[in-house]
Amino acid sequence: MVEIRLASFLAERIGGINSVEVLADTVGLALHALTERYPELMRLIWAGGDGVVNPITAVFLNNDLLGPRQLETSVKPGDQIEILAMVSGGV
Amino acid sequence: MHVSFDETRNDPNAVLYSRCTIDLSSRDVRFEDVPCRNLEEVLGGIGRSLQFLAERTVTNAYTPENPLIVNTGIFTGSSVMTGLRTYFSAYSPLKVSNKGLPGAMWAAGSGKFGSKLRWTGVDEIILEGRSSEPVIIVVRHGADGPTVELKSANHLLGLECYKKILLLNQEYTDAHFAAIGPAGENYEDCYFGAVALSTVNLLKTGDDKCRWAGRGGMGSVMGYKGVIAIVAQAPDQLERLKPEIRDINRETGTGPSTRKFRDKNRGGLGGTWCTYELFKSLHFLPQNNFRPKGDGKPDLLARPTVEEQQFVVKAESCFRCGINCHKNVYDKTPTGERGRFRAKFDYEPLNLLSTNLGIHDPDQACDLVSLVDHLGMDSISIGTTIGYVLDYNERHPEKQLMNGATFGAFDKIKELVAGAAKGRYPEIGHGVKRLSEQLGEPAYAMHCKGLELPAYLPDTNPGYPFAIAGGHMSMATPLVLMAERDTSLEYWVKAITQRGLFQVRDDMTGICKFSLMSPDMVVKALKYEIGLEITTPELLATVRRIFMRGLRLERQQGFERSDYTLPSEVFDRPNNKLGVGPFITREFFSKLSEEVWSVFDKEVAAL
Repeated sequence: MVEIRLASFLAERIGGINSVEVLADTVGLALHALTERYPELMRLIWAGGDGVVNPITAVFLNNDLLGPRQLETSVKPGDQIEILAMVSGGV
Repeated sequence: MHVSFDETRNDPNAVLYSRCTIDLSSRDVRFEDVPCRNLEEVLGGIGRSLQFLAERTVTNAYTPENPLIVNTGIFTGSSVMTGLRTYFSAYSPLKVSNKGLPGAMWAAGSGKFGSKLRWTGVDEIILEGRSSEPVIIVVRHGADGPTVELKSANHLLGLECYKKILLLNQEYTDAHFAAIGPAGENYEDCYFGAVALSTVNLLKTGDDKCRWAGRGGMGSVMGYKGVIAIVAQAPDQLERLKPEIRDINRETGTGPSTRKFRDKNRGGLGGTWCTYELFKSLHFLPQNNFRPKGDGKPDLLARPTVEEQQFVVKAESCFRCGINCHKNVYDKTPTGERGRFRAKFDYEPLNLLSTNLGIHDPDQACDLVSLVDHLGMDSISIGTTIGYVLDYNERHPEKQLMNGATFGAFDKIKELVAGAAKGRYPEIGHGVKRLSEQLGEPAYAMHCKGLELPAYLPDTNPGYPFAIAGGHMSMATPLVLMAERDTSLEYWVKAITQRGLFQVRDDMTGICKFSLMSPDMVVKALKYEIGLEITTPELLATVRRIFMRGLRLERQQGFERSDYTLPSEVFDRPNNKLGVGPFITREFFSKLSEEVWSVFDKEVAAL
């Protein structure tokens, strides 16, 4: 299983759940598994439902920031994905 | 604060907070332990001050009857990371109903002053009346409880905020400070004076690294009262870190929610400044009075560009905070190292004092940001008001205002900034609502209810008018269009009534909004740090109630439906450069208002 940790902006949309475990071989498939389970996150994570990550979303794999074209990166059990929205915060 | 829970671990009456009332007119000082009446008061901050203000009839912010409340939250001075907030609440000289009555307002800031105040044994100071002479209030921790002394502040007058603090630091050991600057001293001509709060970093380096309680002119109210500075002198009193709080702090300091604010070398995204890069694609970045041009110029102040030039950026922090959100800009020495400190670049001050004024040079941006800090003004209010002046001058080349400054005219803009603080330009100092109404051109004055808009376009945020204390600090809707691109009425009603209002939670708790602690984490911290056991739904209901109390207080001060609107150019002159929209038509906003009020009205009535 791969753990996906969610920043509060995303967690609050699904009742405060901030950690989800999914079965997946790549980062992209892990994100798809997440949004299949929680469709409320679909728009926040996928910009137009066409496989492009929302530009307000930053995805980290084991603390490394991934670029938008790195969703094919393989993951293995024990890996940790973090998703955050860059839209929180003001001053 | 005294907590004496027995078997009932959530009884508000079991929590007493220590209030010190100082009558500045008579110099009487009174201490009392006040039992909390409800959970709002237990959590602190505006949970107490809004209820206090609601019991007053105040028709002018500058009257002795307008109390200035300086208080802390339940986590201020605790072991919970970012528990550093001090709140300043009063009827505001800036926020005003169309009937002319002042709105209740607050400003919050971190640094170490709030913790020191708690450690003196005082949770809340109520400043009543008005001193006939400028004073420093010295609050000390004593063996028999806190003491208060009023001392002359004549030697501080005219000094910049951080210089006042550095001077006080020579006089008082083991203390931290809240001080106003020249703008607060010139309260009659400047309604948006801020309160500077000292940081450990400032006292150590001597650089202007204050934190700010900026919004709504709380520094101007302090100036009116003749209070130039407050000293909180007490030894540090941090308790042993409990394992549960250590876990919460670790999550706050290293978890996904605060990554945005952390620096890139710590796995973060580089602070609020990264919003520059984020907004690029949709032209959401305010430029030339909130009118993006799509010309690429905002990129010149994006962090990577600035760092490529003659600057070094260092992430620094408030007391014991692991987020390190301060992005301090230094000159780069010939050997590539850190030289002289120039300014702290946060998104709001940077944008509103540079890009939104047509300034795209980082050196000039540093000058303007630091000048505003030196003089002790709210960077949002001064930046947005000057943006209006420049816009007016470009629209009316035949009858330009003041020194005739237009977008990009750095020297003239700098002169307007200094002049606003020092009383030369009261038209600016009284804020953009009053100025635009005097000129008969309110359509492009960027404010709601007299509070200047932060650096998010009103064209992208119909939630602004429903905020009770400034559009980004008390209604979390400025960026959701960017996030979800949903322009439906249903989405926005929910965004305002079900999500956005919870932004005010940390205006009670004493933790920083940048900690982004989940409600469950706050509940857990209350249990293990305070011994208060409440549920997450109880916490959320408390936050919701204080928001409704804020709305009710607005009504008490004459705010009506017509006060809750956007600058009319949003409706009448949509910007086709925006990547989304325009969607906020008059019809849309009218329907939105109806639906939002149908939710809020019932809850306000039920209080």
